[in-house]
Amino acid sequence: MRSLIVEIFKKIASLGFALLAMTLVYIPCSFAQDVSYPQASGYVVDQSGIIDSATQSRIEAWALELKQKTSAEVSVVTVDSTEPLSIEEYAVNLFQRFGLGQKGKDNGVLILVAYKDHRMKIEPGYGLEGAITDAYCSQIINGIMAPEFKQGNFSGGIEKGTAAIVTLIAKEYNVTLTGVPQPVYEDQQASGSVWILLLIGCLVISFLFSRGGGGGGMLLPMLLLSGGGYGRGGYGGGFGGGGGFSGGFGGFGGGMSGGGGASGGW
Amino acid sequence: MNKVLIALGVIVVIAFIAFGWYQSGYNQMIGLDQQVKSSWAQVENQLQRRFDLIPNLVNTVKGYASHEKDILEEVTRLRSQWGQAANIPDKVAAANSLGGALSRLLMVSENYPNLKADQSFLELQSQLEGTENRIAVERMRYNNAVQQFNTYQQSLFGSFFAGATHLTQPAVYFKAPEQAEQAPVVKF
Repeated sequence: MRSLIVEIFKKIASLGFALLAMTLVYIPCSFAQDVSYPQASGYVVDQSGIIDSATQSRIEAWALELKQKTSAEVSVVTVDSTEPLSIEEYAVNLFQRFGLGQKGKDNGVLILVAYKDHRMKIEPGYGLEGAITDAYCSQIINGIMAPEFKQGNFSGGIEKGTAAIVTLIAKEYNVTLTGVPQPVYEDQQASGSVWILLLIGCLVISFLFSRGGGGGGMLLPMLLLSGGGYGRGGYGGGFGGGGGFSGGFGGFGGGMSGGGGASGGW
Repeated sequence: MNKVLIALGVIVVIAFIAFGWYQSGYNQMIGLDQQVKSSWAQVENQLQRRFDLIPNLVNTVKGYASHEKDILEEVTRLRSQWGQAANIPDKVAAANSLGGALSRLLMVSENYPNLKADQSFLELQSQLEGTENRIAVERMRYNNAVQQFNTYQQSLFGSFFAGATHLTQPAVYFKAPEQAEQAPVVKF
């Protein structure tokens, strides 16, 4: 009797062990990939060493302030190469590993630069795809970052690109960030069409004015144009006032992305 | 007396273990099935996004390259075909041929400098590229879910629970089209 019971227990135990072993074998199968990913050591992970330390600390400060005000998380990562994966696949995997953005809200953005591949990718989490559209990402890559990268100014390009991203997020959450320069989109037809619209508007207005009251017809449009916000903002905000940054980087929230955004080269 | 008690106790313990085992297996089967369904819904979301982008794209391209009739008509035809597909294998097939036609359309567009300079085309192009990438990501996640589901379903105990939950049909993979595996060759 005893031995029978013991036998039964042994059977059950071995079955359980087999089940456990089976699940253990399954799990690594789906993730087995021979690609190395950096550790999430901060908002800026500069493996290629192309971002100078002043720029890095500025971006870290924006990212921290952004997180405190909106819970959104921005990360800038540079790697030498994403081989054997495409930068798009690599970005999705890295995003998931980092877990950018809050779990459930998925409000993270990854700015990935593969230095030796000459490729970059901006990947918004699911929750920010509306605020950071693919068209915006493409404009930021081709109109802001790539021109700087072509001149070898990686710090400047990354800083301006990140500034444009955090500005978009801040706008989405209706908050303002201190010391983030206004994004300037270069060589891009996007700003072209805006200018054409402005010009047409000016012509119409000046036409109306010159009809109505004579002198000073171009004054109002000139005022409108000069106030358009397209001038370089400068870094006037100052970063001294960050007394409340007690924790600094405390890890990411576990958000997910789904391959949105845009990629490009230089 | 004593022996009867011990035997009863053992039976109760075994019953508990068996119930726990049954419950977890059953729930795992249901959970995996739900995962397959929800990741397929994500795939369809992205395919729908592509579907919604096409009319604008076709109209924009028409404005500059109206004599590329064949490819424009093919895209429109395949789009409506996707709209009519009812089950997953049909949808996969329709989505794959639509994706192929779209990438051909974009390649044709390369020959029209005025089209390439058009702002709304550039925006559509970046949206379409983003959408194609989203489709690729959701397809990968869906296929992972399918793999887990099918593996469990065919495993020793999984097949038992598959019967218990009436989930005996294997889930269908979303295989990427063949030509998508190789990058297009650019000739100068």
